[in-house]
Amino acid sequence: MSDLHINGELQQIKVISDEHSAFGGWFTAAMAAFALRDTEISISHATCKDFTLSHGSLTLQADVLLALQDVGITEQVLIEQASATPFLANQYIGWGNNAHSSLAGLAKSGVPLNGVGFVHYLTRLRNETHDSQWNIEAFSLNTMCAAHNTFTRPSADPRSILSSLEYGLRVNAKSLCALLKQVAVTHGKVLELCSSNLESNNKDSASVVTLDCRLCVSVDSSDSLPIDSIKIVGHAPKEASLSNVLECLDNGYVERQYLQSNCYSRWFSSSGIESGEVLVESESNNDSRQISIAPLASDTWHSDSSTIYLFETGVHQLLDDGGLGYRTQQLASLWPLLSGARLSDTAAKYFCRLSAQRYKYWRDIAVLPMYLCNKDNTAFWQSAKSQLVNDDLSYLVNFYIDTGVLPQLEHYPEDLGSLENTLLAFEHYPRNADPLSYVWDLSELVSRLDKLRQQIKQTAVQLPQI
Amino acid sequence: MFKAPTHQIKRIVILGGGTAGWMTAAALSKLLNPNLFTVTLVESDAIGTVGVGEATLPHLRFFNQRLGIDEGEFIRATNATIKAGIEFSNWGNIGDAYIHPFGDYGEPLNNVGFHHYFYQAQKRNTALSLDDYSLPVMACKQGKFAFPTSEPNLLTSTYSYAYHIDAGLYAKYLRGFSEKLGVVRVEGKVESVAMRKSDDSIASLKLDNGDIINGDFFVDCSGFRGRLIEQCLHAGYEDWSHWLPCDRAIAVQSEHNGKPLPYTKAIAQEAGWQWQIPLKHRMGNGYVYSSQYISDDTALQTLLDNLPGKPTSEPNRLRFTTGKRKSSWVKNCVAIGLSSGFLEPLESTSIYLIQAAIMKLVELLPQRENLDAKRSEYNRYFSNEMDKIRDFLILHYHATKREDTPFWSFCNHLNIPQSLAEKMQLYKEIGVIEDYKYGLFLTPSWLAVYHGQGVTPSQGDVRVNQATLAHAEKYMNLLKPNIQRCVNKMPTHEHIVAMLHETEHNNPTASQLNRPANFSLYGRS
Repeated sequence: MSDLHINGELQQIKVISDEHSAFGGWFTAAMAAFALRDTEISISHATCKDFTLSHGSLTLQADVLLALQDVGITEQVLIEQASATPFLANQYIGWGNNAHSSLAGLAKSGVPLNGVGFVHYLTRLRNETHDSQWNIEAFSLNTMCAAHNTFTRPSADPRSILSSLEYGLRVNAKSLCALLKQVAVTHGKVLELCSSNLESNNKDSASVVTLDCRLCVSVDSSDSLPIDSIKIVGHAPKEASLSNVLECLDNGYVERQYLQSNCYSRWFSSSGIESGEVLVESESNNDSRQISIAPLASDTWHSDSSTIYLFETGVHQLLDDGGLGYRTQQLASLWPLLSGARLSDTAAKYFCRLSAQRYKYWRDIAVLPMYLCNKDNTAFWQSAKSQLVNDDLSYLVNFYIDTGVLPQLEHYPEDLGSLENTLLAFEHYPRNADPLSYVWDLSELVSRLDKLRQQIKQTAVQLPQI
Repeated sequence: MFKAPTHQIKRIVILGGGTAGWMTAAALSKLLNPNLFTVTLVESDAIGTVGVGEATLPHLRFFNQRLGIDEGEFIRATNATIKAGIEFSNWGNIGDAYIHPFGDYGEPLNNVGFHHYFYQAQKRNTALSLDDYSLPVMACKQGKFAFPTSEPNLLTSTYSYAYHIDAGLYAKYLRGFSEKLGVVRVEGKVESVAMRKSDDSIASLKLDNGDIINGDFFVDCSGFRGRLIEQCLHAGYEDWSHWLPCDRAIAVQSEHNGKPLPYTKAIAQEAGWQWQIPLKHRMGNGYVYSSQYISDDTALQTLLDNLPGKPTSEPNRLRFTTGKRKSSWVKNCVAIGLSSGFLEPLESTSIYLIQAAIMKLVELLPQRENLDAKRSEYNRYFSNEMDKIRDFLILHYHATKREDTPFWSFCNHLNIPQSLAEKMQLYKEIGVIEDYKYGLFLTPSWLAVYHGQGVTPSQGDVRVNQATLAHAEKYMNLLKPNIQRCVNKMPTHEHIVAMLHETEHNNPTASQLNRPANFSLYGRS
């Protein structure tokens, strides 16, 4: 057994990217170089522009951070070389009405009591006291820390209140792209090519698998989005924030992510950017670009040509951290399947099925704020509603409002704490509390929850300022 | 003073007092506020219970803990022994035997499943055995057991355990538990069921003594017949006997033939399989078979010929049709236990399905205004559980090379569900086990059965190469003796059982009981 490849004859992974998918290309190449150490990785660019082009900033959550750590890009490296800052919550402004402002934490809020979800006790309290000041935000260390701009790393001791904290990192995408390129070159046998005429068909080579990451604008998909363009603008931050701020606009929304010394605003809209604020912000920094959003589609594997299309789809552009989460899961599932390339179409069919199921979740997460938005006073929001109809998401949201329970859907993660926080941030509280929450009388429930609220606030206030 | 919301259901009526009925009563009486709910259980001493569900899964520990049941007390009350897996004999081929453990084999290395390295290493050294890399398998083979630890870095946290119990005694224990918590037991047979004209839901049960039992919500634990869910609400039944052909079982109790083993035995026979479940004081035995391929009398004789000791009870004959109720929850009635469907006793899923149904019902206990939504979600959940278990059970029959009897020949050439066919094909080609989040049997179980019944992949993971395999072989060379050392230190299962049944006062195992349990078949997750 002298050959390096015991299983199958995979000799080369060919990654293809273009101007808009440079990040996806290098991410794929880096992960491939690390996972398939003895396989030659070639990365081919469709044009010869700068292939560490910026997507502005990215918010990375646990699954992506773990994948990066595996390839050597640790949290410390991200802080030192990619301007990383902690991320605790999303702040939603103006989504219900103009005065609407709420925080949705990354970690599950409250603590289950007697095996019953915390939201049921809160719902019961709100229903019985008719007091909407009992708000989920007050029961989350994430949101309280975000509100007070304080932070520490979570405790591993499950008895500590600090164990309830979860954080992600906001990073400079261009810097992370450079780090990924470095990983790919260091770990793999990476060959970088530049060509305007790339052929992704591998019919002539039985031992090559192509991972085509190009933005596929011609993809056949009926899943369109109400937004069709993103403009990313870098500027000096007005203030430091542990939250990403998502502000609802008449023709879309803007998301601001705060890094160490700058802030990136990402404007999502349907018909170009009209707000004067963009121009003012962009004057301070030339780091600005506009991207068209492709129709949505999940990754596909055409077994007859051993080409796997890892689309930089609309969702990737819409929500980079969501797209990266999808990409991380997809690549982790792909590597064990590669020995099936050319064997039969079993692996390809499985990959396509998995991709489509998984994609539904990421798509749902990406459109969730738009789906929950109460605005209907502009043409954009009136038409947006009709375009966002989705069976799974509708089922989940309606079931939650009816019951306070998030259904277990196979393609959704088990921990839906962040999603629940978003529903509650949009005032989608359950109508009824679980019957099991009626274990204490009202005064005792008030006392218990008030104590918990104070404990969380005190902890948040006492932590170091960021 | 509590005031129940006006939309709250208040009166819960359970029909049937077997394992399912009393488990439901115990859970509801423990978890619901007695000021807001009443729980009534209707049963008849004249109607026997099936009571063959003697082998359990580790999830039962989670259930008992949720109810605050002391593990030592439970073990003594049910004459329990420990179960760390199931031994399957003669399934893949005559003479084969393997153990499906409540634990994993090795660990993934560099995100690559252990079995990929194992199969490559085995090509170099055909003497390697997958069993050597599973602590619970090795412990079972040597009749040893120790309670798992919770320290995630230790080998001793890599497995879980369940029990062999006397299900009749468990129901009796839970009856006492429930009645102390206020459950009202009513003796009587249901003569008729009154339906509400407004919505065709169940209003009350009329008993043979004339009593009327009114309720807001009904739990049908009446067994195969589905007295409420089928006879009144016509839920319908999805018949799976074309995939799971066994339709009869005979159960007989017998003496032990020696030391109780820490695992259930499932021995393939001419037209089905035989179980042996070692309790503290006796052996539970049964033959599950297909009436198409063997007569009842021959099946009984086969069972009696293969008992490990003298029979101590009369044969108990059961007839069933494998399948599931099309909807387990209809109107204001949910079916739990055999009334919701039956998958046959292989892999001991009956009590698990009861407790999974109860825990989901508790999670989705309805109010009047969300009853429809919760019913729909419950049915989706339960149907998914049944479908996934179904495929895993079919795998046992289908993954065989046996052609020696018409029954096994039929199984070998079975037209299996598409979901299972795709799963098996993926594994056979490249060793990938299609996993899922929501379902009972996950990757370690599928690997145990695939490997144990001779299904091996033709290709492995491309990430296994000379360098990574060398690294894995070093790991394997350390793991195997480590496991053996752990097993050597374990007491025998016989010794553990003896200790467990000592009185609480002087029981040296007491400190090892009641450790937090996961809702999982395996050890650390």
